[in-house]
Amino acid sequence: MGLMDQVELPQPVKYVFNWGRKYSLWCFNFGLACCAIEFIAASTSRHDFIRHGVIPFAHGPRQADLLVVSGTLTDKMAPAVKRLYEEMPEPKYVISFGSCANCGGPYWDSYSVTKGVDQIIPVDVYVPGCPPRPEALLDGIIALQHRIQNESLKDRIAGRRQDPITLGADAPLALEEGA
Amino acid sequence: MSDVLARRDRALSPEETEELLRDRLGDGLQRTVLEYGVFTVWVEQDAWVQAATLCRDEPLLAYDMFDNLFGIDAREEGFDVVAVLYSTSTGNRIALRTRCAGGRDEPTCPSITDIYRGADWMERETWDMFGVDFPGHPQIGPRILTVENFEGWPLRKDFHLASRAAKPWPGVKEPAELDEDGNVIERVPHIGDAPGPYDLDKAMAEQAQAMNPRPELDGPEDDDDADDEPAEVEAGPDDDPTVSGAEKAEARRKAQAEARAKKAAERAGGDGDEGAAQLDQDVYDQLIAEGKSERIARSKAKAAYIKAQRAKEGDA
Amino acid sequence: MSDLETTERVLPSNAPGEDVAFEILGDGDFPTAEMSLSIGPAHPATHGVFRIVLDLDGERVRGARPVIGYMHRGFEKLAEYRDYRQIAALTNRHDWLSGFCNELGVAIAVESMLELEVPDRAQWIRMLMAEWNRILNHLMFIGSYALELGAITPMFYAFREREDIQHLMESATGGRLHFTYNQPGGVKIDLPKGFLKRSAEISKVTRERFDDYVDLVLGNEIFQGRTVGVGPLPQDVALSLGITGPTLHATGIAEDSRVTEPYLKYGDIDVEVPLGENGDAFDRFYVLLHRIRASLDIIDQIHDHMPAGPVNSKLPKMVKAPEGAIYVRTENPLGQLGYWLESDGGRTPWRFKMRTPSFSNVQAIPYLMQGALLPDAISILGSVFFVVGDIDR
Ligand code: SF4
Repeated sequence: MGLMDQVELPQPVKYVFNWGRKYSLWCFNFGLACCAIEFIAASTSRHDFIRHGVIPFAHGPRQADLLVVSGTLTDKMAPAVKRLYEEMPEPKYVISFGSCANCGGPYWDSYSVTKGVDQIIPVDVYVPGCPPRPEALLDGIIALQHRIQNESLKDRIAGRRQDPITLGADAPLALEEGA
Repeated sequence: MSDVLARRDRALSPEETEELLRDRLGDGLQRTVLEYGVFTVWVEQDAWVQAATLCRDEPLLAYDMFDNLFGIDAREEGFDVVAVLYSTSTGNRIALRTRCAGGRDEPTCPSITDIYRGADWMERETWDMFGVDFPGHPQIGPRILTVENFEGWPLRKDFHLASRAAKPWPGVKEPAELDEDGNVIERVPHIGDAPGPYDLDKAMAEQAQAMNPRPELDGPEDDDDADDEPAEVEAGPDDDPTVSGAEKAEARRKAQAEARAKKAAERAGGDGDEGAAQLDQDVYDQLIAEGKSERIARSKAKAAYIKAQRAKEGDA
Repeated sequence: MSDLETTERVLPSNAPGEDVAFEILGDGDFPTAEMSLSIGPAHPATHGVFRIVLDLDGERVRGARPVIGYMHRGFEKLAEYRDYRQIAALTNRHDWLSGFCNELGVAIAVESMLELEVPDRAQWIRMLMAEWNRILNHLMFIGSYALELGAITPMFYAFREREDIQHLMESATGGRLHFTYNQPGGVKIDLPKGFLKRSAEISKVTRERFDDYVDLVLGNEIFQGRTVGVGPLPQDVALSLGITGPTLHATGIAEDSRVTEPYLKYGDIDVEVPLGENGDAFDRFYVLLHRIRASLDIIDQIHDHMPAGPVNSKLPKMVKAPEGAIYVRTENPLGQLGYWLESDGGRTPWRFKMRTPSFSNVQAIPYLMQGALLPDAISILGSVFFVVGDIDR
């Protein structure tokens, strides 16, 4: 990728390239707590996010584009999450699924819970809820896909991230700029 | 043995159990309590192991199932350890309870891992949570639940939750702190008494300390970073919509809310453009340069800013 | 070359004085190196953030050390800062597969301390929900245990049922995982119209599909090959460790607090407790699977019993438990859940101890793994059904 982080791709190429990327998100589920069950529910037949091009069979972080952190992150677990994130190749995306991953959730005052996964890794999409419904995850994925479609790969690979999307607050915006 | 409740008709009543235990343990047995169907036997520390052995081996008792073991904070007198045992053949349950030797400083309690295997992790947990040492336990460390380098004993009553002191309850109200009429009870905050081992906790405690003294009733109002700190989002374990009742309390709450809204509006209008800059930029930059995370830096910088502001006001 | 004819007997080091022994093939001359293998905390086979360190001698597990605490969220401390109604929302979340059964214990504890009269209908509704929740939980484990042994299909089948049941429970409680439907004195609101009819329909469908699971998993030769005789647990060890639930029933002990110390209205109906014989992985799964059928039987009985009437009683504005301590034990899907609630008369508990089934059950893992083969380690680990949040709280 030596060239790609220095040269912006021409528009048509970028379009096709991003289009390909957004519909083949290999997803590594970092299931931590209750929310992981809803994540699994989202991957099975009723909700089925595979139809959106999210492939939940990444064998490990090294094969994944998308990390879904679902559940409570504790101080004991935090180093492992950071390490997994660092193992993922750029460009990589993070969805923080559930209040716990967003901010600590019901354990906001606990002595052993990290108050939000964004304290240790950058997050692209926040999905609120305790637990969020599977539909909310689909929403988050679509918002992320719109972002991927429009982003400059050069910036991404160089590690310049845009502001995170908070579902409910700015998701409609994200959809608008999509198209 | 596989016949559950095979001997239920021959199960000893609490009085008979007490008699039997008193006969075997003598003065080791202090007293017994029967409340809400729980039969608790207080034993001397020295008789603890003997009592457990007796409960398991005495054919009339036959407490073969180890249910539970945990600690309880007993205020000035130190800590209690409770072991709950159950008998599958008679259907009886007993709670053995003892007060740890060593007071609050060095509580110890003999281990019963040799008698019941299940006590192993339970004792490790009690040590982790209360700092009660169990001589005779095969391996009490490392800490079983908390992080290895955790400081303090979380379930002791003198361990305060740092985040709770630094931040107001993010929900609408604090039900645990309302009196019968739903009025807010002022609490004495133990700010920064025992911040967690992590930088962010410490920084938050520091920020909280700087914000003190708080104006009464309104609670800490300096949470103007509500928008940029996701941790302020309503966490919502409070799901209880039914508390409002007395109109008095209702009106009072409304008034408070209005006052708060006004204050917020004032703040927004007054120093709207420097609202984001309410922190000490130098301190902030320095901390960032030191490689601290943004939130820690922001908390600390804010504390520094508030201190400086206070000092200025004092001069004027 | 090593002589594979001789055998060596190994006594598990944590089972002093017991005549359980494992035979190791060969005379020990086979050049194997001791190694220590750390699985987890993020490993697909541990379904959750659970770590286990195996000391291996070749393929043979010499010792296993579970490392827990990765999901420790400090429930017991947090409960001391929340009032009795808020605690229900907290307890929902430690065993996240059986939220309803968890909150039940708190409600019962507070009610018994306050001597609150709970309306009959509320009690039957609670039982109905608890049994549905039990089925939800077991379905999840059927899916995940099969997945760990290499079969992905049962997971999809299990979730087909789960979605139906979750939808049913959601229609009454508003939650898919965490219901928070109990409150001291009853349940929050009455069942919606048509709930019982729908419930009866789903119960019928689930019962029909139950045979699919038996054929698909239990009757599967590969599944049997990987589980029969793997990780047997003797009765006395199980009791001394405090193991409960399907893991205990698999050893043949029918200790189930719905039967031995009936709470709610369990005394009025027949509760069947499926039992195993040897306490091996197969039996544990067998018991788990058949508990679904037993629960469906209970649900059908509840439909017949459901009385009309109010579902909650009037509560004081501030629920304050009187001074004293109570221990309430309920039968959770994974075993017996005990809450020790000690109150000093205030709004919040003085001490709220959770005796969670998974914590005790997982203590059996070092015992079960000693002397097992590495591939069996996975099937043992999966067969001691646990939820990580329930271990660590
Ligand atoms: S957000 Fe709620 S459901 Fe999700 S992990 Fe946290 S407590 Fe569980």
